[in-house]
Amino acid sequence: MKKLLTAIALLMVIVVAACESPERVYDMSPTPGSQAVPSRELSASPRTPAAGQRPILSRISTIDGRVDRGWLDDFATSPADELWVIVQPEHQPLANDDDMPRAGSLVVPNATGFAALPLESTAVTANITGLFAGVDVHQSFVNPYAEKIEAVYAFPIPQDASVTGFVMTAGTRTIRAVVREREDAEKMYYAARAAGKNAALLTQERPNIFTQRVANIEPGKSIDIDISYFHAVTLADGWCEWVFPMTIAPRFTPPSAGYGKSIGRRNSVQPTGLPPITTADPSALHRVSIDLAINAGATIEELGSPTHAIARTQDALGRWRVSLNADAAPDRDFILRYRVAGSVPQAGVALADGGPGNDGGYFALTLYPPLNPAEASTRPLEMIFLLDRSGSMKGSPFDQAVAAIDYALGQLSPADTFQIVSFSNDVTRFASAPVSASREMITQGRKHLHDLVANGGTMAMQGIDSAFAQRSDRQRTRVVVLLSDGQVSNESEIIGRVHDTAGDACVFSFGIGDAPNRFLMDRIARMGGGAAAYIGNGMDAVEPMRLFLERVSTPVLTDLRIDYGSLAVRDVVPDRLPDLWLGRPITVVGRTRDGIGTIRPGVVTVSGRVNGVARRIEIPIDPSYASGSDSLPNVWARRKIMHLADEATYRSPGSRQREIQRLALDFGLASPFTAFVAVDAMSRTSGGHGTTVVQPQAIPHGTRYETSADR
Amino acid sequence: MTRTLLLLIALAAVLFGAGAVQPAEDAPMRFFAVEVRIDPQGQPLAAYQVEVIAKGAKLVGVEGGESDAYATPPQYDPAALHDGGGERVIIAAIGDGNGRPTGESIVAVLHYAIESETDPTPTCVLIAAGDPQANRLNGNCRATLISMPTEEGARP
Repeated sequence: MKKLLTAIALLMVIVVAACESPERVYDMSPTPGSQAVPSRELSASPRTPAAGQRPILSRISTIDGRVDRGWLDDFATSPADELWVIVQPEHQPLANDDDMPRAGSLVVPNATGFAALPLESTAVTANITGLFAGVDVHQSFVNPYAEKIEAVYAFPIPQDASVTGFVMTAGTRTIRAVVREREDAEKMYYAARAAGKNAALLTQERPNIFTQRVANIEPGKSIDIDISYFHAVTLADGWCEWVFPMTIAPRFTPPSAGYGKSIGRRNSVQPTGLPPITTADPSALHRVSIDLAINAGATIEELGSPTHAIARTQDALGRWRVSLNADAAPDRDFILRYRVAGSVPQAGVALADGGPGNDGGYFALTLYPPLNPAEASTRPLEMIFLLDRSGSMKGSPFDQAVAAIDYALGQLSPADTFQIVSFSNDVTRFASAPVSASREMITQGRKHLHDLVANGGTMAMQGIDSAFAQRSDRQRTRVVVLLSDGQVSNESEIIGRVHDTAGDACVFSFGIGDAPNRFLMDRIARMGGGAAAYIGNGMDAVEPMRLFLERVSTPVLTDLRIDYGSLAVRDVVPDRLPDLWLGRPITVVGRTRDGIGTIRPGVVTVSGRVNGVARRIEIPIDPSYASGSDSLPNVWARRKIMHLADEATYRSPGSRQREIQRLALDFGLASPFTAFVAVDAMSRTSGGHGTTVVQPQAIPHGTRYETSADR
Repeated sequence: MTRTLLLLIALAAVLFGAGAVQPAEDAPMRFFAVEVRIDPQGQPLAAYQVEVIAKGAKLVGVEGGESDAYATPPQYDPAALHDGGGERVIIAAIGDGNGRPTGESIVAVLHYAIESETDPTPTCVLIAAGDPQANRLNGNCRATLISMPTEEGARP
């Protein structure tokens, strides 16, 4: 009986498999005018088309998501050779299908690398007003091929940004996308694509990574996309920082993460939702221009970029205009820093009406720590350094991290203790438990540190477990300092683990490199009640560490509590207040029961402790001086969504989906469960939906492909 | 034996069912557009807000109008769109100083998707319209379905 059942089940499997959509390979012979015919054989010869002719596509599918010159050389031989390729079925898999490898990447090889990928240019226009930046990203997708294409492009944005607009321009028609439930939006997009309509789709893969799909770009034509978002400018240690991320570094996926199957020659691949990586010259991919206007509301004393050469001008009203000296290659984040003059206010409350419905208002309370506090914490430290020594850190990033820790060790006092935990494929510890920061132990610690080598995978979870497993010393303030580029794909697991195990520890994170995973580093610090800092390639690693040590030893206020007085509030984010650290303001946002017109003047009281002594700060509320900022409702909505997403991380995945979706739909925001879709119903292009062309990402400057993408 | 047959049938149902489930993209879907016209009755139209309902259809795009003043796609109320199941949309725009229309003109084109064979009859309500001095205008609006494409809905 068992044999019979097994045979029948096997027969059923065979029958079902035979009913699957057939895979077809088209013979795209590089002969002008040839017709595509079904064929099981394809000759792939990198032939340059004749002058004036558009390149003919050679259909080559990647099987492991990697796109590099050496890989192509393995396949492209001569027209006489046969080449078997794996082609995706007609039905394009959805972007968030975890089981689909990244098949279907198309490239047009030539003697110098890649020719004419669809994304031609990116133009960024930003306006900073006060501490908020409104950003418009204009991208032109051009079809350089002889057949219709769909362009796919994954790109980063700041992890706290609210995407509020997505506009498609095809020919003379400009269409604003609408936000819909993600499944609906994807269904509409793929239906429009199959029907030959010009269409565009924007989906969120991570809080800081989005994917655009632009369908039915006809040969020689272009479709422009405009994306609008806003976010808060970071204020730390008296400096404002605005970042425009330009590339997505390769991510390591540990075998246990379950984010995708292992294919290709390595055990880890770019997980679904992240783009393929190319070793091509970044300047050949596309160029980026940036034009930024700053109205800080106060005099800017210093302004500059540690990453790019910029041009800057100032008008009579003190407003600045900043632009890149030359269009940039998309291989490193753009960072602008500026320092505002004048004394920093102690605290402030902004009020606003608006948002969907007429259901009260919104508020934002910001606490600014003094730059030079009169009081400082005197408690000794238990310092645990958690160092990423994976392959992606090899070279300058690792050297910088080591230099930063080396400096920090020299600043510890004998009353402090320290431990060094490092991780790649495994975890190592300097000692079985934190040791006294005596001169002898510091010397041994430094030797251990400088003997470490960066190579291998990124088993960050194991490193975190080891760091937080140290038995807590009640006589000291436990501080865990993570130094990493954050290039892993199991961010949710890591964030959840920090939330669950940090306990009394304060967690500070240093993001290393030219394109660190800021979303992950910021979240880890937030979960641990600390702060994040960043060290770019070539930057001084000691100064950020020096500032950090100053901050760690001087929490301005701990055990924060807020009494809102007569201001009736709800939906306050964050619901758990972090400590107030030197140089790092805290912003709390929430909703008010009443609109501005009915709020009465009052006082909000912030209380806390310094060295065990109670302190209070009183903040007056006067609706007549309310900021009335139009963006405040969206700021609240975005932070609420982030908070719900974090809760879903350390409670149960999907537990907040409905709330997040509702918020995002009401406020017209992109989220993991909503998407922007735009369809030109009146367009009609000929033929099928064309061929999908995936725009690869460049390896970030300073990152080695061999030890990061090829792990 | 009966139990065995039932198990085999259930197994077959699972296997064939898994292979036979149609992806969402296979459901028939068509696309059409609706022109939204406002007649400000001789006064320059400086701003407007209208509600459009197209029962059974779902909004997939918002486009600007025919005059220079309203060439930019209008804003839409996302909460109203969500509450209305995608059938109801409220759009609004402030007209650029150049070329504000004084007669009936197309102020917006709405793009829809529909999974029904029946053409919807869109309706339009002018919530508010104003002239350059912010005076309320006594205008009217109408929504016209543009000729439906004849091809059947999408198939991958």
